[in-house]
Amino acid sequence: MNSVETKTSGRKPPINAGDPNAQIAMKLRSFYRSVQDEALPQRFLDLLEKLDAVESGAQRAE
Amino acid sequence: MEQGQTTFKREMLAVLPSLRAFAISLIGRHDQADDLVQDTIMKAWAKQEQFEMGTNMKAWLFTILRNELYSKLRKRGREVQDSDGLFTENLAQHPSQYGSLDMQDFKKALEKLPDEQREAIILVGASGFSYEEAAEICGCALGTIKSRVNRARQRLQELLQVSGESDYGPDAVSAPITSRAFAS
Repeated sequence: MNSVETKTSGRKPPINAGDPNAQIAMKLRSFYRSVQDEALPQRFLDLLEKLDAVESGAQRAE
Repeated sequence: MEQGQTTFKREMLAVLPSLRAFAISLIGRHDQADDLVQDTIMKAWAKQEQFEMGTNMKAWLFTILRNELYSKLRKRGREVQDSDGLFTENLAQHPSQYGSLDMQDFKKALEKLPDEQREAIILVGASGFSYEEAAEICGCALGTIKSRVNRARQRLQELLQVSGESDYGPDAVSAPITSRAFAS
């Protein structure tokens, strides 16, 4: 399952070439990776900053 | 304390890209997935006392996200009967979001999987969890996860080999019947 990580196996391997399971695994990983590599939306960074600020403000007030 | 908080935030930040990829792979839509990630961040922040530093932050966040998603779906399910799962309202989304045709085909195939098979194969095959961890995240037995992953693989193979060769959807069959019904 975790075996194939061929980086340059040609652009588009023909269907049925090799182990079909390995092909599925590779497609799944490259789909996932394409999303994971997107820039993180700024709203998440802002949110974390805000949560952090609120919390440390509250602690100082105690 | 300050130190602990900074570490918590930093560890969380490190997991976010993968957490977001999980959400998008499950739901298929960026906007809804991002809302879900945002809810997860807030939930996790509120529960951070429960998290033990040094344990698996990634598994912890994925579990929270998954619980959030299913509780949302249950709420929605009370309003609309939606037996086809997560992806039903996504039929009209932009296909251009994913570069290659190959990728679009794959995404379509992934959408056709039952929800529990989709999450199982994503967790094990893409997010990098072991079967044991995936079972824990989904709250089910190890054997259940394994069989879901196997069924997901088989189904994806069928779907991807069929795609392109035969494009007969249900419409090819039902369209003539509908037009006959309207003709009378």
